Amino acid sequence: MNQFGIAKSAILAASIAVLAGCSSTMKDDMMDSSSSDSMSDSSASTSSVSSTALTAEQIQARQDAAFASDTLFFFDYDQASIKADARLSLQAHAAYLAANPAAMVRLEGHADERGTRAYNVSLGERRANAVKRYLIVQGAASAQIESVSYGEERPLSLSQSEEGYARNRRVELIYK
Amino acid sequence: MLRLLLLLAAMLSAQVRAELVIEITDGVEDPIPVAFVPFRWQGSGALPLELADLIENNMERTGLFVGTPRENMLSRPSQGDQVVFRDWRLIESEYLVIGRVIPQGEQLVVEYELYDVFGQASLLSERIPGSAAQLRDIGHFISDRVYEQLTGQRGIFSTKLAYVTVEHRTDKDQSYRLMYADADGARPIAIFQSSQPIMSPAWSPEGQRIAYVSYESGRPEIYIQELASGTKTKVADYEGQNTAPSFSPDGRRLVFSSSRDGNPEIYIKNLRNNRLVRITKNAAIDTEPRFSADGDRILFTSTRAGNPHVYEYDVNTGRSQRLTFEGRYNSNPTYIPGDDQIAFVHQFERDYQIAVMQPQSGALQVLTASGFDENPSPAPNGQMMVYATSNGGKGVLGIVSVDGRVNTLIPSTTGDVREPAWSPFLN
Repeated sequence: MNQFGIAKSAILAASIAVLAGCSSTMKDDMMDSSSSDSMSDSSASTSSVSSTALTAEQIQARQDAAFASDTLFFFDYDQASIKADARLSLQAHAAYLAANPAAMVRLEGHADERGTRAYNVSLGERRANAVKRYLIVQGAASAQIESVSYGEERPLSLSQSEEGYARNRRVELIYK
Repeated sequence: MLRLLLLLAAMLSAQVRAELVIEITDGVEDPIPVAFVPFRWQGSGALPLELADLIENNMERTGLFVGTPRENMLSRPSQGDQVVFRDWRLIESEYLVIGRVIPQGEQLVVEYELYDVFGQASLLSERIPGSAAQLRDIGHFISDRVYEQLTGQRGIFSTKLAYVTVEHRTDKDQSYRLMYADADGARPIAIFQSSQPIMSPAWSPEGQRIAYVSYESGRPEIYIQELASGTKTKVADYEGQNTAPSFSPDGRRLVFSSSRDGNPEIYIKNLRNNRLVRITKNAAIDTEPRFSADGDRILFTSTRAGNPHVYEYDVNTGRSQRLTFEGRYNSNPTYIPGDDQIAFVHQFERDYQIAVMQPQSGALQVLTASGFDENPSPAPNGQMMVYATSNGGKGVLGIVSVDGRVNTLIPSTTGDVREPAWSPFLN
């Protein structure tokens, strides 16, 4: 990621923190969801450590920022359905987009190298569309989201292994 | 065609030259021995190319023939009255190719002869005028003539390949090239380069244009490029993806997949009046369409039954029919010229392989075994197919005979090679 991208992420994280602090509806949603087993170890330990020093809202803001800085969403082989563990983070992105109507995001859909190239462009497009639909359902506007599929053309991993393929079956969320 | 080649060479002489080197991995058990005697050069200096080597390599690459080792030759005739058939019977060469190159001012003339050793008969004797710069084309022409004389099939040595190469530095830093090369991989020329993906090159039926997908605008759009002029026209830039173009046999229409109406469907665009006709309609992925030689049918990949399978659309009735039932992934189908079989990518267990199938009987034959094989593109004589495969983690091209008996690798020296498309006959 270039410096510009890092700066954007920082702004995004800060905005999410502010947003989470002032939106009780959203906070409630997030609290419900964050009780699921999809929480990562790092956010769990953050909340236990900070229970003495930070308010519940501050903890929530930090968690939201952590979820929103997550811009890679992975998929199963030949599938385009969003995994359960991606929902919290996508909800945070949708909330950011809803609160910042001028913000624009580009979704890049990708496939692993298995299967044929043109078919994989369609598969990557389905993945990007699944994320787009979810963001819209969660409050983002359609006009804020553009999507493109690269099929198998832009692998993150060049390893011809199950681990490599799993990293390449993804949607990347890029703020513009 | 020579004029077109010279134009291209002049325009693009500064382009990348990464030659492909042929490596025969599987051949037929008893290829026919043929003696290719070095051609006699009657001028001064050295010729840029040894024609006998070129012709021998071409013939050996089909897997049907094997060249007689030069050190076994008992004589080296270059014209008919020097041929002693006994010399060739003794070393069991069944056929003999001899020739000579004669300077004619700035130009030259190539004369060659093909003999049946055991029948003691002359089968071919021709005289081809040209220039030193055209020697490679002349060598391919002679290969075509010899191949046709010995097999009854038209040779494909004067045809071309288009393919895509990629140099991958990181996931965001890549260099794509659309390449144009001889059928043996020689004389590669980049006809388009981009930092953004290039995909799915497809030849027009007369061999003068190539349609392809380029992401140069940031998303997949379809262009048609004229080879002689380099002129490029955008033909499909609809919302969503525009992928997998294929020309109709009359060259006037293009079939492709687009998600312009929200879902990947197959469309036919009339290139003269830009009229667009949609031929599929369902919630599944429909892609990778390919016209039949008569233009009456279109093969394509669809997930309408859940997994990707090969379907055939009847242009006259507007109906589609599923053709593949074996396995859980069959895609990227193509017709094979002069053959009632179709070829496609077939997944068996975890491996992706090139398979052929006779649609009426459903009899399926797997032709390759690397596990990463895709994009079959048949030669215009229907005898061989070029396909994309992987060798040591790197994308390379393979050539397999349609009967599966001969399999050849064309390793590249730079980058990943992918998505080959074999040209039609060009003369």
